[in-house]
Order: sequence, then structure tokens, then C-alpha cells
Amino acid sequence: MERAQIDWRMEQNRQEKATELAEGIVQQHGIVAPPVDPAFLVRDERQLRLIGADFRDVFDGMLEYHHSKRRFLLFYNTKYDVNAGGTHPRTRFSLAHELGHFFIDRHRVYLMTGGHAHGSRGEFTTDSMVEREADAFAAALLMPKSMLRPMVNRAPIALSDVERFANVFRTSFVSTAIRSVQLSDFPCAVVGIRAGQIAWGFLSESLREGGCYGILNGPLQSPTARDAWQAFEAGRREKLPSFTASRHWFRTSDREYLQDLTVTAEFLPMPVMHTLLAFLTIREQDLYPGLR
Amino acid sequence: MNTGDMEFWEWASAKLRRVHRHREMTPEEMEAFLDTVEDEPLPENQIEEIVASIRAGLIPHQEPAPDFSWLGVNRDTEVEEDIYQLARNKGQDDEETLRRIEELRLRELEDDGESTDRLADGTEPTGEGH
Repeated sequence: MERAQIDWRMEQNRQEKATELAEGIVQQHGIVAPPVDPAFLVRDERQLRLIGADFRDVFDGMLEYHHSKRRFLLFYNTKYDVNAGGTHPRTRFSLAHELGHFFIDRHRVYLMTGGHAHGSRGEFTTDSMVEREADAFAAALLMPKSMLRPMVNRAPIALSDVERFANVFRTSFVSTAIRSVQLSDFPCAVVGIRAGQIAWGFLSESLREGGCYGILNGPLQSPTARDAWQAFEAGRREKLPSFTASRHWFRTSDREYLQDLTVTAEFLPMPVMHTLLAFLTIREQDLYPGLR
Repeated sequence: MNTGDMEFWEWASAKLRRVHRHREMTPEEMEAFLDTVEDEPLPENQIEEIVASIRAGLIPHQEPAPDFSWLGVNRDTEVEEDIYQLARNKGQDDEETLRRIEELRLRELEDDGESTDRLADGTEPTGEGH
């Protein structure tokens, strides 16, 4: 096995463990309905103090360990809450992310044994394995499988469903879209487009099993996606649903029919993240011809 | 239902739903499906642990151990500075905010009483639905 594959598998494994840890914590506290309040989960942690304030652009969240006091201080930025009429989803995610550093053994030990400060760029855009692990923890803490999975599998989901879930769980649209795809039994994917290129993507298990095993990173190949990107760049913020072909989005196994499956693409501009989000779905009976 | 069973049903339910669409399965159909699932051998170390537990008159029980192998060596003795941090979405420092952070830091560290999480204005964060 190549080094890159080993790293990928190791990272997947760690993210899965982080997810299980978060869901276990929610379960232990007897929380059975959204939204999950991260602060409630740590109200009995004597070693940890939460400090929320407007820290401007210094950071979204920060966890630090004070060796001499044997105490963790968790700072979280409340600047997004000003016009949100409550706690903004981004604040909740940052708080949950920092709790990931507190609860994940390796991260806590890292801090307690002399880890050095380092930054990350934000939600699901980080390079560091440690930050992605904390992101996975945060997503699972705020959107536990036990609560979201039944909702996303009642029927094939669309962008409007993701918006509804985000409102119920009080989570950001992007993190909700990613988590919904990860928990969906239907063929779907969420893709982030930046600078006219596919920057990242998440596929549902059903899509992989059906033969669409990866996202085609790099320049956009779908003409409709290119149009949508141009509209986004021109400042048009409307949602643009369209039909495209699977070969424009996915790496597929060598079954010929997989190349020309109809993909429904719904686009959602995320100006703050300089990202155009594409939510992709394929009809189950198209991907699995045996079901017809 | 234990964790292993839960994991199995989560794995199986997606496939069952796909094949049988949205219809609930009858118990007979479930049994028939289960008969088609191949047994998977347990790993050697798990078998050995089960046998050892039974020999000792105990109920076999598995608890995952934390993985600290990535640490290499314990660096506890090398700690020189007092504060260690992990920051999310690190951005641009500004003097005024850094001073504020320092004030809040000192306030929390000087307080040796019960833990009370609060916002910078001294109020406690509003609880949310659980």
C-alpha cells in the first residue's frame, strides 16, 4: 500500500473515532433531540473554562492549557452572534471544534505535554489532520447520527432539505450538507467550487458502492457548473438547479453506463467562503439498474 | 442491542432499503436475508482474549485502549513554557483584542472557585434546547 493511501486510511480511521467519541458524549448526557448545546455537555468539567467574547479577527476559537494551574481555557469568538438573534451556527461549530481538542485524547495530551500553537483556516478547509479530526468531532457532536440519520433517509434529499436540517440543528449550511451526505443511504454528493475549480467534495456511501467512487477535482468540466460559477462571480446569488452528466463530476468504475447518468445539480452561493456549493443527486434506480 | 449489532444493522439497513425500496421487511424476509450473509472470522487476538476471559471465569469484555503511539516519547519532562494552545481559524492579531484576551485569561486563572462558564460581560451563556 502506498504511503498516501496509508495516510488517508489512518486519517479516515481517526475521524471515525472522533465521530464515535462525540456521539458517545451526546448519548451519555441523554440528549435525544436537536439542537445540541455544546456548553451543556461540559458543564461538569472542572478542568475546563469556557470564555465567549468578541475576539474580532484574531481567531474563531482557541483552547489552551495552563500547566501550572492544570486548567484548560476555551476561548470562542461571539462576533458572529451580533446579528444572529442568538448563538450563530459558526459560533456553535467553533465551540464544538475546540471541545474536540479537549475530548480527543491525542489532542489533549498534545496540549498537556507541550504542543505548540498553530492556526487553521476554518470549517472543512483545513490542511492539518488534527483540525480535520476536530471538525469531524464537532459535526458529530452538533449533528449526531442517531438524530440526523433517520431524517436524511426518509426520502432522497435536496438542497431545501439540507436548509431545513440546518435550521433544526442550528448548524451551518456547509457542515449540515456534508454531514447529511455522509449519513445518506441515497446517491448524493456535496462539492465546493472555488476559483472555478472543484476544491473539495464528499460522496455518500451509496454513490461509491454504485461505482462513482471519487470527485473529479480541478477545473470544472460541467458546462452548467461553469455557467453557475460565472453567475456567482458576477454577483448573482440566486440558486440554480440544473441537469448535468455524471462524467463531469465523478471518477467512475469501468461500467460504461456510469459515464452518462443524469445528475441533478443544485447550486448555492456562499459568498463569505468565496465558495459555490453544488449539491448533486442521482436517481437510485439509474445508479443501480438492477432495481428497475 | 449492543454496539456490534447496531453497526451491523446500520450497514444492512441501507442495503435492505435499496433492494426492497421503502417497504418494511417481514421477519421471514429478514431471516432469509441474514442467511445470505457470510460469517466473518474474528481476529486472532480477539479469540485469544475471549478464551483467556472464559478460562479465568470472566465474561469476555473488550474495551478500546487510547492510542498514544503517535506521541513517540513522552515529552512531559521537556515542558518549559506554561501555556499551550490550539487555535481555530487563526487570523489577524490586534493589540486591543490581545489585551482583552489576556485580561480574561488572568481573571479565569486567578479564580480558583467552582467553574462558571461565562461570556466576557460576566453573564452566563444562554442554555439551548437539549
